[in-house]
This record gives sequence, structure tokens and C-alpha cells, in this order.
Amino acid sequence: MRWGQWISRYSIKTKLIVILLTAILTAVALTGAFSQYFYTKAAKRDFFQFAGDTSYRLNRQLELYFAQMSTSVSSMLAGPLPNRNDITRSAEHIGIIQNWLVSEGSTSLSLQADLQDVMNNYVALNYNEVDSMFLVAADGRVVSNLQNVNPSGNPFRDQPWFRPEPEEQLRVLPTHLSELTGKYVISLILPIYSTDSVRYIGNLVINLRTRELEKSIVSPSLANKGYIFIVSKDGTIVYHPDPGLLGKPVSTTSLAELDLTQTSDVQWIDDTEMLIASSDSEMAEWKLVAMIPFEEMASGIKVARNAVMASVFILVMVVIIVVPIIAQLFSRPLRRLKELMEQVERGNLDVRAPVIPGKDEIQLLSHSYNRMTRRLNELIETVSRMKVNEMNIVLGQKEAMIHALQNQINPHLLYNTLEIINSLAYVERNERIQVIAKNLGDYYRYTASIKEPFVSLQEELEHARKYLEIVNIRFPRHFQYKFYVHEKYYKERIVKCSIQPIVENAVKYAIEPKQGIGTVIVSAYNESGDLIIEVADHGDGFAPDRLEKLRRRLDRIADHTDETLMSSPSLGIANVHARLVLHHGARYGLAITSFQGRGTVISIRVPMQGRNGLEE
Amino acid sequence: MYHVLVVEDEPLIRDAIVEMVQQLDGFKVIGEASTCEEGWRIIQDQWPTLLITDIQLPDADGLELIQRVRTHKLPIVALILSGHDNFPYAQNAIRLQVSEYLLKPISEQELHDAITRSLGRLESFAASNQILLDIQLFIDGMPGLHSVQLFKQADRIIDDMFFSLAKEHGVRISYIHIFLAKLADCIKAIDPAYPNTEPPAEMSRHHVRLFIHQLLHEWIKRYSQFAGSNMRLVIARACEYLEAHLQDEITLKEIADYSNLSASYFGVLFKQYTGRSFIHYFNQLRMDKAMELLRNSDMKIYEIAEDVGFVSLPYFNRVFKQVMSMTPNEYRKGLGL
Repeated sequence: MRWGQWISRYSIKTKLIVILLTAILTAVALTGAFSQYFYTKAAKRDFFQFAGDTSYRLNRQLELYFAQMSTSVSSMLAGPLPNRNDITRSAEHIGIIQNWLVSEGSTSLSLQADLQDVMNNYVALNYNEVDSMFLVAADGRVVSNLQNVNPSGNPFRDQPWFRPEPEEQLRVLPTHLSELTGKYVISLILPIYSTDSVRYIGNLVINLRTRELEKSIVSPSLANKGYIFIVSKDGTIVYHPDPGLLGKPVSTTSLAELDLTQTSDVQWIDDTEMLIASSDSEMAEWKLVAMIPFEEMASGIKVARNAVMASVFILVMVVIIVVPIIAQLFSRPLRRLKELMEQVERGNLDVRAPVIPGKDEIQLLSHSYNRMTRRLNELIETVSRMKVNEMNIVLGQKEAMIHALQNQINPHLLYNTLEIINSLAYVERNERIQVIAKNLGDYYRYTASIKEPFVSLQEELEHARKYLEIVNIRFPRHFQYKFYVHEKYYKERIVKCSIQPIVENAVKYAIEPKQGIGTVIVSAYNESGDLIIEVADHGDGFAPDRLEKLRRRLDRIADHTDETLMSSPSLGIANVHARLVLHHGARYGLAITSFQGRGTVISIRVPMQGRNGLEE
Repeated sequence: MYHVLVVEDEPLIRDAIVEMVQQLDGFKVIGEASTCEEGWRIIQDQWPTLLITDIQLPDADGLELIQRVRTHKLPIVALILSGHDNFPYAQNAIRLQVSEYLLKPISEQELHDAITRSLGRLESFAASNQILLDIQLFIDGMPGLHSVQLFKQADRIIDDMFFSLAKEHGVRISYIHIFLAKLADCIKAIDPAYPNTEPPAEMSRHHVRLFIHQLLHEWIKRYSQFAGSNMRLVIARACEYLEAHLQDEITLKEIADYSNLSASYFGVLFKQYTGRSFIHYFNQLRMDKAMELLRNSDMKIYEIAEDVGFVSLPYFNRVFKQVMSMTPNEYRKGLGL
């Protein structure tokens, strides 16, 4: 209920906007969430597969490289062996390494130079990534291919690769800084066996510059921001695109947080979500780690998000622009209907809403509304007709009552008696009695015959005049009455007994209380098609409150809401007004103007001939 | 001079109406009746040209009286004076060609205006009325004429009817009927055994004349025997009765009943015996008595009027003036009392 109240507080337009926006945003949010979820999943899967492939390839590459390297130096280590096709190689070099390794004692400088040449010729010149090479004899002697670094002592004893112990097979040392060349290198340690006895005689150490190596083997980057790095078993960074990290233990770098035990994972580094995939290199016991920011990998999501955002923006704009128009389309007929209803409220029941046939609810509403107003109109008409009927009945009863009273007076007796009085007066020459008898007889006869509801103005004025003549005999000295009615109005039709009761009223309230001193004036004029008959007296006028009361009563009669019509005993002002309103409509009837102490004017308004007040 | 009959049952009202009519020059009230029958009798006797009647009368409707007038095609202008303005009355009045329908109470002016408006019709009826008056005069004068004069005058009336005065065939037929009926009544008044005569089938002047001559022969034959008949006794007794009941309101009907005769026969008989109509005769008796009282008593005039059977003084005055050509007051003053 509260919700219902709350929701009805806002206009349809607002509600439509809210509803549509909610629908759009919900759809977008759902799409976003689902696409994010599935896309992320797919992206991760793709990445892991791709990273796995990459690291696997890299591993193989490295293994192949190392294998190739060991193969390419094997002939040199074997003697070097004579090479038939090689013209440049001097014969003296043949077997020089083997010999040196098995020999004992210090090495002459020339031999040293020869060994340098051999190493340079066979290896270093072929592979420019080779930083340095060292021959390590089993007894700890070392010869390098580097110039001037072959001191007789053993300055290499501190080098990580200086381990004259026999190696089972090829060994790779992780990156470290070569003090001799100042470069980061990977050391390749190859065991050397005697060609004669197959006895271990020493190691060959090849230091490979990491920087150079990366050019030929490792593609340093994945996509834009991703990269591959290699960590050795003991936690030293073998390779990293950032040269500053080479040879450092992982634990001292920003990569320390990484958990490299998982082959694939999503981890956070420096507040960046990273996708990480690692694989182990069997030969070197390294771990290859491919790492890429998730964002990079999932750039598609960004695109999708942008697309969603763009469509959301467009939809919102559309909603904001279109909804008011649609709402207008909906609410215009509703507003029109509302205006019509307001007209009904103001009492105009003839308004009809335009209806286009169809199933549109608003049209159906308009249709219902039309039916309602029509029905309402009918009801009101019925009610007013009933009221008019009721009033007719009341007036009819009144007339019947008067008629019954008149029937109680034997008309023959009444008129005959009056005629006898008249005759006596005639014979006795009493004119006043004659006038009274004659006028009284005419007066009663006129009121008694109620067959004809309309009479001519002349007849009605004559009736009033007869009444006034009797009054004039009662008050012969001071009472006056005047008729200022032009003959052209004589033929106008007027409701019977509509003027005389007003005149009688004037006599009763203005003349009699003053013992006949006063004047009653009846006049008539035409006011825009209506005939106005005014009955004026020079009495004391109505007291304001009484005048107000009377006016209210006349208004009530015009509305057919007066209840007191029946209870009033006489054919007075109210009765005349009621009959005029019934015959001609509410526009007609009586109007009272009174000036206290100076007199009263009651004007009777009736339609002139040729127009009827009642619009049928 | 137009003769007026006023039929109104209320004497006071009748007085006023008669007074009002008398005020008008050229009009004379020759009869007053309070019932329809009385009025009809006066019409057939006095042949007025203007009838002023009330509608509600004790015995019948005033409209019925007019109905009879119209049935006999009598040249009478009818004027109704009534307290009722209901439609059926007015409708019937129109059907009966009533000139005016006046409502009570009436003023002198209204009545005069109404009569004045009817002057045209009155004039047009004057000639026809004259024939009826002539017939009446002839009938009333029959006892005083001898046979040659009778036939001569009858022939003149017939010629008038055929050649000058009653030109319309229906009216003429009606007048002939009236003439024949009157003659037959005269015969029957003397000889009640006389059979009803059928009027001639052919209404030519010749046939009518023969028929009337025949009726006159019948009458002359019987009238000579009439002097000695017991009918005279009947009338004489009636006259005595009237003299004894001067103060009562006696109508022709009452006295006819008293004489065991029908009113119409009695009327004719009475006239033939006394030479005057019953009303004239009765009024004469009353006036004789009134004069006697005026002369020999100091009773007030209205007392005398009451004593001789007049309910209203004006009526008495009127009748007195009719008979004596002066008012009772003048009569008494003239005697130097």
C-alpha cells in the first residue's frame, strides 16, 4: 500500500524513465558480469595454454641450444681433431687441449696463447654471445680465452664455475656477474674426457652473456606488457627483461611475493593482477615463468566494456530523449481527459472525448469516460426531470387545492349573490358596491378557471387592475395605481396569475400597513428579447435580512431544490416564481430590488413571443 | 323600438337588468320571466326581438329556450347572461347563434355595449318580426272582427308572408305553421274535441290560403256558440281566483292547473274571453288594487308592492308605469296626498 502510494507520487514520465533505465542498466550489468566472467575464464585458459606453449618452446630452444653448444665444442675438446677441410688451422693445434689437460705443471705462455687461439677459433668466434671460456683441468689449472687473464696463480678459484670436480654431464649455472668481463653471464660447464682413456680430465666453462643470449633465443616479451623470466632452482634470477634483476636472488626483488610453485595462477604484484604460468626446464633445472598483466591479456574485455558503456550511454540518451516523447504520447490523451473531467466538475456535461476505435487502453478509458458522462448526464437529467415533475406535482396539488376550495363555494351561489349585490347596487345607484361586486366576481372567475396556463398580458393586467380597483375603493383617498404598459405588449403570452399575486403582495406589504397611503405602479419593457414587467411600490421595502432570505428561496426554487413550496399557503411570490421557472427555465422568473424605507420593485422576466425560454 | 324579454329567476337581478335595458333608447322590456316555460310563452305571445336570458333557470336551461327559438326560426337575437364561463355552455351558445355571452356580475356599460353590438342583427330581424306581430295582432283581434274583415286581413298576412316580409322558404313555412297552429288553438280553446288538423302537403300560397280560410270558417262557426259555453265559466272562476290571490306570485301554469286546462289552451281561451293576455290581465288587477291602496291608505309604496305580490319595488314601479304611464309616487302625489 505504501509502495503504491509512493509510486503514484511521480508522473508517468518519471516512472517510465526510471523503469527503462533500470531495465537497461540491469541488462548491461548482467551482460558485463557474465561476459567478464566468461571472458576472463577464456582469456586465462588461452593465456595458460599460450604461456605453456611458449615456455615449453623456450625450454626446448634452450636445451637445443645447450646441446648444440656442447656438440660444437666436442671436437675441440677431443683434441682438437684434425680437420681435413680446414686449411687455416695449423697442425700444431691438434690434440693441444687434451694434451694440456692431461699434462701437469705450469703452462707456458705460448701454450697458453695457443689454447686461447683454439678456444677462440673453435667457439668464441662462432658464437658472439660467448663472453668467456675457461678450461679447467682436473688438477685446478685454468686457461681462459681471454687475453691477459691467465695468470699462473689461480685467480678463478672464487668463480662459481670453478669446480674441478668431474661433472656427469652438461651443467648450467644461473646468471651471475663475471668479474672478468663485468657482464652477466650464464655458465655452461662441460665435462671433458680423455680421448685415450675416457677418463675425466677437466671442464670447459663457457660463459654466455645473458644480454646476447636473449637476442638469439629468448624473445623477451609477451604481448605488450608481458614478459618471460627464468629462475634457477636455487632462486636466482637467470633471466629477466630488466637487466638490474639479473643474477639476483628472487627473494630480494619485487618478484619475491610470487608463488612459483603453481604452474598457472593469477597473482597480484604491485596492485596489478598478473597472469602467471611457469614450467620447469629439465636440463637446467630452471623454472620459466611467463607473466602478463591480466588487463593486457583481457584487453578484449575492455573493448567489450567500452562497447557496453557506449551502448549504455546511447540507450540512456535515447531513454531520456524518447521517453518524454512517449510519455507525452501516453499522457496527452490522459491530460485531455483530465481537462474534460475538470469541465465536468465545472458542470459542463456535454463534453465528449475523441475516441479512435481500437484496443488502446486510453481509448478504452476515453470511451468509458464518454459513457460515464453520458450516463451522468442522463442521471442528472432524470433527477432534474424528477425534480421538475415533483415541483409540477406540488404546484398541481396546490392548484387542485385552490380548485377544491373554489368548488366548495357554489359558483352559482357566489356569482349569483355577487350579481344580486351588483343589481341591488345598480338599482340603488351605489357605484362603489357595483365596482366591488363586479371586480370580485371577475377576480374569482379568472382565478377559478385553470384550464389555460397561458393568457395574454392584457388579460393578466386586467385581472390585476380589477384587484387594484377593489383596493382603490378600500382606500379611496390616498391609494393610487398606475399601469405604464405599452399596447404593443398586450398580445404577449404570460403564465396565468403571475402579475396579480405580485401586485397583491405589494398591497399587502406596502399599502395596507400604511392605511392605503402609497402607489403601485406596473410597467413593462423589452430587455433584449425578454419581457420585463415591473411591479413597484412606495412602501417601506424589505429589511435586508428578509430580502436576502427571499432571494435565496427564489434561487432554490430555480434550482428545483426548494422544499417549502408546498407548505406556503398562498399563491405568493415563491409560487409565481416556481411556475415561471417551470414554464420558461431558470433564466426567467422574479427578481427583487428593495430600498429600505423607499420601496420595492419586483420584476417579472418572461420570454417574448417567438422565443421560448425552455431549450428543448 | 325593439322589444326585449328578460328571463332571469332572481328578481333582484332581473330588476337590474330590466333597468339597464330601459336606460337604452329604442329598447323596451315587454316581458319578464323567471322560468323557461314562462319565457317561451311570452315569446309566443309578445314576439320580442331581443331575448336576454340566464342559463340556469328553475325548470330548464336558458339554452333550451333559445333552442326552441331557433327550431321555430324565430327572428330573435339571444343574449346570455350567466355566472358560468364553462366551455360546453359557450359551445352551445355559439351553436345557437347567441350574440353575446355576458358574465355575471354585469355592469350597465357592458350590457349596453353588448346590445349595441347586436343592433345590426336586430335590424335585420325587424321585418320578420313584424309578420309575427301581425299574426298575433290578427289572432288577438279575431273576436272583434266580423267575417269579411277576418278573411281580408288573413289574406293580407298571407300575401305579406309570400311576397314581401318572409322571403326565405324555411322561415315562411315556419311562420305558416305558427299561424295555422294559432288558429287551431283558437278553435280548440272553444271546442276541445276539434281534431288535430294536418297542414296542407303543398305550401303554395293558394293552398295555404284555402287552408286558413277553412280554419277561419271552423272558428266562426264555433265562436258564435262560445258565448254560452261553460268555458266562459271556467275563465270567470279563474279570474275570481286571481282577484283573491293578488299578493301571490301566480303563473299561467298555476292558474291553468287550477282550471284543469293545459297552459297553452288556457292562455288562448283566457285571451279570447278577456281580450287580454293573462299577464296583462293579472297585472292590471294588481295595479287596480295598488291604486286603491295608494289612494285610500298611507301604506309605504314598497308595502303596497308587497301587498299586491311584487317582490321587488322596481318591478312594481315598472309594471305600474307600464299600466298607468306614471310611477306610483307620481300617482299618489298627483292625487294631492
